[in-house]
Amino acid sequence: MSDAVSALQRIMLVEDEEDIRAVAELALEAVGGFNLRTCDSGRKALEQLAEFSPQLILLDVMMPEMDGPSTLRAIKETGDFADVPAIFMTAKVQPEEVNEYLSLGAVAVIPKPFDPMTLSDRIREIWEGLA
Amino acid sequence: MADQNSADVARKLALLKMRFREKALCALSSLQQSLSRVHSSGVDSGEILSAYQSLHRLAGSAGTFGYSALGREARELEQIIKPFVEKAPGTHDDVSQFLDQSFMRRVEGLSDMVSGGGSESTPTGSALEEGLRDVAEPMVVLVEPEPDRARSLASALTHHGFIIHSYSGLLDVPERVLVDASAVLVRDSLFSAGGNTFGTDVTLPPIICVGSVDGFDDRYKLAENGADGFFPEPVDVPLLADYIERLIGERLELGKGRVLIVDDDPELLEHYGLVLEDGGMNVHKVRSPSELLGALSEFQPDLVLMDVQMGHYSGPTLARMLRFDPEWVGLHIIFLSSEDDREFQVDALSKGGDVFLTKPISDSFLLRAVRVKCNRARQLAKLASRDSLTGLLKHSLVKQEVGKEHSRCRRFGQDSVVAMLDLDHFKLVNDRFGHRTGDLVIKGLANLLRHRLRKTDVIGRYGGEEFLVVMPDCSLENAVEALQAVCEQMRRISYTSKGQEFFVTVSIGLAPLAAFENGEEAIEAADQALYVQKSRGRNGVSVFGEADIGSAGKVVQCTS
Repeated sequence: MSDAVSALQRIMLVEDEEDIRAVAELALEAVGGFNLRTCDSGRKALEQLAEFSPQLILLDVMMPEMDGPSTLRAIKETGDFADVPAIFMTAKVQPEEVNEYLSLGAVAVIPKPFDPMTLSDRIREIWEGLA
Repeated sequence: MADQNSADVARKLALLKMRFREKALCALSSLQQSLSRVHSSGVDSGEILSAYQSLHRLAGSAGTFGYSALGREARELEQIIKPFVEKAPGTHDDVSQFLDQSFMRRVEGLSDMVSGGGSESTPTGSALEEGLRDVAEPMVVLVEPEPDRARSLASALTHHGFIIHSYSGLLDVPERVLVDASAVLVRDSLFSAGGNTFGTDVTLPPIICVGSVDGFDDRYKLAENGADGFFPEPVDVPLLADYIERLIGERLELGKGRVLIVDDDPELLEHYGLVLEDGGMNVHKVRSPSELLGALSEFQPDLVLMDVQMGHYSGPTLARMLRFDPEWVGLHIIFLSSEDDREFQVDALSKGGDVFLTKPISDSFLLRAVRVKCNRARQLAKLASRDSLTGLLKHSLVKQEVGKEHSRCRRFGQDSVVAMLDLDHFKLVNDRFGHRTGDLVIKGLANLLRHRLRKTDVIGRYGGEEFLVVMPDCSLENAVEALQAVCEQMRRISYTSKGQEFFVTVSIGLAPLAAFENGEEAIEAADQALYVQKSRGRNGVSVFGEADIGSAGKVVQCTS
């Protein structure tokens, strides 16, 4: 994974809740300095993948229509973006659920609620760990 | 600069927290209603599922906004419901296992955790904590060495919905208070004598001097020291409140424009994006013209910045095509091109484009041009839809909003409320003190509504002294509470005209939107409730359908 050693810039966040998107924008753009693209559904995320070309994808688990795991499966099927590391952000953190997400190919799970002031540090840590 | 940035983040976080709190209160009240329906009329798998989802959302988000205890409690309740979510309907016994008195009490307790201020200390401390202080109302710093004057001005402004932090000298104002303030009021003599100790950073709040200096030289001195405004004594408080309000409005608009950039050159696209984002603009980038229409309706920009030629697509032709759609007829477009052929530019402009900038263009010039154009676009859009006196939505538009909200809340089974407001004895104010004073009172109520209601509430000026408000996703009880607070605050605002002090009250009628066939009927019902309130002695809130005990023969029946 040669991309992982380069600097992380473009992050895509898929999250249906407007408030969480807004706070994540603050946490990742204003605090973290990343280039963030937010999508309010898995479908929109799939549509915007090619144009935005994210280096990392953050996924909420519980979303209407297409939930986080289905979105990740669909991303893996695109081929082009199958290797983009994905992280689940969820309030559900039972061990068996974490295992389920990791088996889908997620690289990490960040439990919700997250702290907006330290979220980008956490993500950078994970990114550096991927190198 | 780093401090400035973190102060900015903290302020935005505080706003998000406020929004979260309002939404959480509404969500919790519908959760309670939904659970008590399950409790009384048996199990409904849909309602249990939505209760579970609503608790799950709170569990996941509350902590982020500083309500950790709320999040933990919601998590526990969520875990209790979880096993019942996938159960087949009709198994009432199972439900009574969790849906008992103690569970309901805990659900009710969640609301208290939100409304109790929630300023529980978060383990993350400093920056976040600082940002999560409640800032429900705009904060104004007052620097006045004379304690009596300070007290009376502060209390008068408080009634207009401002939070006042009072200091006796310029140097006493802590920096973190200063950056949070919406405006600073300073005794003029402090400012002209000691000079401005705040600096002239553009991110500082506007500084308004109050006092009695007169004459050209004195005022010039204030302007030279960086004052943004001057208010003569004796202070006309409603006029001052309106002035502060306008300054706040201007600042909010500054640089917050939404710009959609279309350029097929990825490097230029990235570059323009960075320049405008650095300048505080909200930017969305599109590389292929074919994505333009989708991006437009999703991003809703104030302005489109477009290359004049992208592959085989011509910018001016795209502009003409965009305007096929009635929604984008008024869209503002700036073309960028190295093409400096006059003929071509005229051609581009005649096809509907608005401005033509010739490359190479300096970053600062680009930013300035986009900013000016954005503000202009916003002002025009606002003029078309807003009432010129109050800045609220015009009659036809707010009515339209009621219609939209009606179908929305019908579809999602939510509670929404329509309110009709009318200033009491307003004709007397106009007759006795003149229209200028009357206008000030109208603006006063408009500003109060803007401060006291939620961001999501739609406020419009319905007629002369009549206002119409739509409160989406809000229970009748919450609406009554919010509007009673408006009445309470309105009657405390003191107006002075022709040397006479007077107060104006407001009467309000409410109706639950979903209970009516259409928006018009709901407005009609709110209007009836308003007249019930007028007959009850004005200055207060009436709900449509509440029995009118006061006057005989005017009992109104609610259809729901």
